[in-house]
Amino acid sequence: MTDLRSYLLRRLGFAALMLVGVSLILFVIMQLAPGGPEAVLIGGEFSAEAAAQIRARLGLDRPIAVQYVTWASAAVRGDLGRSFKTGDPVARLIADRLGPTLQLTGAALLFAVVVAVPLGVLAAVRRGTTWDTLGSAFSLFGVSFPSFWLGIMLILLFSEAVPWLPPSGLAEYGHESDVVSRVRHAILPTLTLGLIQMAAVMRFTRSSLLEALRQDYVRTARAKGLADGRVVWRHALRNALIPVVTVIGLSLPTLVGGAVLTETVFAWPGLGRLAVGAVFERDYPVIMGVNLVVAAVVITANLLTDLAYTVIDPRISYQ
Amino acid sequence: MIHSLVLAALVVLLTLAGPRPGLGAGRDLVIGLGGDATSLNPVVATDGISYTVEWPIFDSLLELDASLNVKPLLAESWETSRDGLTYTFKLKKGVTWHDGKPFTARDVAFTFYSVLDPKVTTPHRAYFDALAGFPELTAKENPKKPEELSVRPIEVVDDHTVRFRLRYPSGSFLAVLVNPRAGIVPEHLLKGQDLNTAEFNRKPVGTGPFKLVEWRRAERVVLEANDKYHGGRPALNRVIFRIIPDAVVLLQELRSGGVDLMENPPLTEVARLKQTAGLRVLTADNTSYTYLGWRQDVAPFTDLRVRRALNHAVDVPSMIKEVLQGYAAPAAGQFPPSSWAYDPSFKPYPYDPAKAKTLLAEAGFKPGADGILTKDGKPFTFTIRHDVANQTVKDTAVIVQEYLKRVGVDARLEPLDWPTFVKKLFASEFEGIVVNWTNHHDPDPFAYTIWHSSQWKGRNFAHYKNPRVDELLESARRTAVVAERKKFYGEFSKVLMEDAPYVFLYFPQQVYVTRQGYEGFVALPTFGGIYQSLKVVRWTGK
Amino acid sequence: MRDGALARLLGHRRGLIGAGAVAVMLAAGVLAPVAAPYSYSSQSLTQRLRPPGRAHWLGTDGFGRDVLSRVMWGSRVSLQIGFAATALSLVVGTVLGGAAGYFGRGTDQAVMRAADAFLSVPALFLVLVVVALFGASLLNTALVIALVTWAPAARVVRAECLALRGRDFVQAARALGAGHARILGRHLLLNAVPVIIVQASLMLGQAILIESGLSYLGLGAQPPLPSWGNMVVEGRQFLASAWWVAAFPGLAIFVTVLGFNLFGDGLRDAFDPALRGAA
Repeated sequence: MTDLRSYLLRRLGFAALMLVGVSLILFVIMQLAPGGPEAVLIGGEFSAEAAAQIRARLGLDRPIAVQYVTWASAAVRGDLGRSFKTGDPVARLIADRLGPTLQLTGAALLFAVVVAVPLGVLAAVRRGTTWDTLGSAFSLFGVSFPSFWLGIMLILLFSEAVPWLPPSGLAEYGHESDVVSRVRHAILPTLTLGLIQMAAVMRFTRSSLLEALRQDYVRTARAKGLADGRVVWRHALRNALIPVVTVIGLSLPTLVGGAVLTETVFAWPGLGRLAVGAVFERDYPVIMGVNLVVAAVVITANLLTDLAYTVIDPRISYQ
Repeated sequence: MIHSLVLAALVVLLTLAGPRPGLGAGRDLVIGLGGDATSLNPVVATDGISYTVEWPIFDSLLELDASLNVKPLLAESWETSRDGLTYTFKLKKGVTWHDGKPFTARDVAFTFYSVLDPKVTTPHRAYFDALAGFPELTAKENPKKPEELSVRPIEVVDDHTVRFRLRYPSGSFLAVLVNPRAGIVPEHLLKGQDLNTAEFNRKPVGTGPFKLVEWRRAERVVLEANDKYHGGRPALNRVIFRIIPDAVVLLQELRSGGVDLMENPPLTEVARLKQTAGLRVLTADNTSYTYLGWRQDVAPFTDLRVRRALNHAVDVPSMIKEVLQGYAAPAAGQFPPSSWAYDPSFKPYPYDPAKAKTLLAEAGFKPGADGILTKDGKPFTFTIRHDVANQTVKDTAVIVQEYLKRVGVDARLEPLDWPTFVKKLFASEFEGIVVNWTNHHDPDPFAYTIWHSSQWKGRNFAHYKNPRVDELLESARRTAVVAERKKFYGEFSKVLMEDAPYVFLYFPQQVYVTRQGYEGFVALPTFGGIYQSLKVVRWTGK
Repeated sequence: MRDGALARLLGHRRGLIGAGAVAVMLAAGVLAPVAAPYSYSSQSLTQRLRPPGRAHWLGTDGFGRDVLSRVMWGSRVSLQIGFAATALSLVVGTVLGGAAGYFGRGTDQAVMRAADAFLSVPALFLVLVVVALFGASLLNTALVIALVTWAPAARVVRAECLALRGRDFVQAARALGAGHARILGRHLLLNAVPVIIVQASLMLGQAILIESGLSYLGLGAQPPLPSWGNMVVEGRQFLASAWWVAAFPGLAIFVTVLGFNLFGDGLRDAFDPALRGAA
């Protein structure tokens, strides 16, 4: 177990390093950019004097290094600062928005995996038949769609052309705890995000299963006369799952970040839209906070994915 | 099998269920906003959305009537001294703050001394330039405190009388004492606090017709009727501001009942909205204006012929008709039609591309091989910067570019996001701009701050300089007699039009869409004019 | 491995379809200045929002501009940025991946850790920040897209070099005294070209998707210059009344990306028939 422990320590140490690096780069980029939050805060009655006062109050007139160290030392203690725009604690803003984003990406991922893996297996097993061709075509199409366009087309079909589903928002206004309303509102955004993910996962499942089926040990097992079904499900699938887990892990940054577009199209009150709004309004603490949280989530997921490998394939060790 | 069939049927049924009616239809009013307020303290919150949400919460001393003249609100009556330097206001009695404490003249004094305090970040300060002791109170180095002045600008005579002293007679003094820029804040809650960051800004307490119940950031602001409002309890139960940044979504919510009032729908949709049963469209003139501007001190704009040519090059009436669907008035200068300084005898430069070309030729430009005008080997090309987020301004810039191209001027569009745009604007880092700017219902202070040559570091970022204009603006400032001011501003407008510093394009109207059944909306022809009438709006259900 | 690749490629139906789609889009972009029926910016305020018809095959948008012409011009923008970003990304990815695969150990660790770091930041978010703050010029956009896409390319090249470096011809070259750079450049990377080309095709598709996403958020090419993404966002407000304004540019994105993906598949199968049908 010391193996595991030292591995974890190393990974965590490295993760911390990455978080620092990423946040530092982001911080410097933001400071270098023209314009700042004061313009947004003052609005139409802009005056240079007011702008200077606001910058001083927000601490933006201090040297960049000082500002970063102040932010970082607070962040380590869990204090992500306060939004320039609203003065609310960033941690709370993120917590409020994290739920809807996780709900969306979680549902999309679940949808993708639950539908794609069996379909991918089916396509691999029934290789060469119509199923396979259809499946391949579908998955190829899926990864070629721009997500925002897919969302808009879905709105066009299921909300404008026929008024079946609501086109935006988390739930009917005033009915936020109404489960039915929330489910109805979640259908189109989940489909948008999920269909694309599904295509990617399906493609991967199929190819990796085919690869696994071609391996020597499978042929040996077949030669030995073991029933086809057992061969597939026992040996090949297990090996095929590794890359699938990889793909799921790899798709996390895309999901969390790419949800930005879906959230924009559907006016979904999630982290992606919080981030986009913060970028446009130069709300530095929020940008830094969201980035930190997302990076932490992704790094954690990667770590878990790697640990999952060792469970699936005992041959993989902690190097 | 049956189990899954039932489940499937259930899912289908649930999916097909239509939208539900909006919350509290009838006695609540749900207003859709495109963004969130930054804070709810009228002294420091100066962006448009904050103004809107503050309006029902705070009262000002005076308010505007339909012709944009002042009438009493918290001030019952007032007297002006003969020399125009002293204003004495008698305040309404029996007015209370939302927390029950009585409203007195001390609150008025506190509010305006806070505006003057250099430690408080507020662009409103400039509006009170006429107050006695203004330079000393607002000095950057060693500003004085009010107690240290020999002549106090604001004096609490008694609990219900407050006196203002000016250092020169100012015709615009009364005009600045109205919402949304002059709401009164409570001394007992803010004394000794830093107004810039006080918790009050999130939990405001005013004397207005509605009080704050809840503010969920980026989601909604809920106000409820003030039973003890001095003007009588409003007919509405609650006013709920819903924050919906996406304009398309906002419109959908309006249609489906989630929102009862929205401002500035996409203009291309207004015709359809007018025909939609259950919705009503209200329009009103506005004071903000959109123009094509440029640096006055940079060639070739220093040539009067060039400036006039550009004015002739743009077909404004056509632009208004096609892009704004007619919801704008052509601009012939600084002053909107609803302003008393407006002179209908001024006409904008007529659309005359031939004349534009002639003038440009006179100025020494010759068409090059690609149709672009050149002079001394240099093509007539410049960049137009504008705000990327304002759809109407964007569309306008695109059309302006097209018209300029037709007379041989090559304008490149450079949309910038608001923070960058404003920064460059006030640093005078631009060649051309298309901007929609707020205005005030009184010509002063905007006319002064935009056109006076002393304001190059401020709002006169275009660096305009004209001694005659300076003279006129100063004279207009220092008199309180309306007839005289009108004369000065009239002359000012004439000089300005002849000098053609900008292509004044149009004054976009305010367009509101509301649900049928609400009565009582009065849209004043000035910024956010509809929000003043929220206290009299009621639901009749018709 | 490369002999017969061309023949296999030409016989690969899906790959050919993809190549065809890409060729059409490329041609549209290259020939737009001469072949587009209207200019991309000529407005006709009386012809706003006309449905597809004889005069305007794909209809007109909110300013009366011809959608077909703008889609063609949009091709230029999207493909320019796509190619620029992919080229940058490939250069960085190939050099770093090759070094990692060839030198192994320390270099490998360093490069892979860096790649991990870039993969943990959500691509669109980073791109958004840079482009929003610094402006959406061709260079900025291409640079930042390259920043977020080099990592997968590096991984692929690294894998290839890892596999190849133990091979005989490399040992032989070493024995003959060839320097590292020569071995890397001449032997390894040259043999990795097929893999790189396949990767390029897929990355082009991805770059175009990212660029159009940026345009959708308002950060791409600025009006009146059309880019497919900003056409879709302009068309969104007319979705109910004039669906074609948003539909066709989106379709263009889809066809182009699909084309690159199909072509990439075809290339992959052509270069290594053992993998045929595996992707």
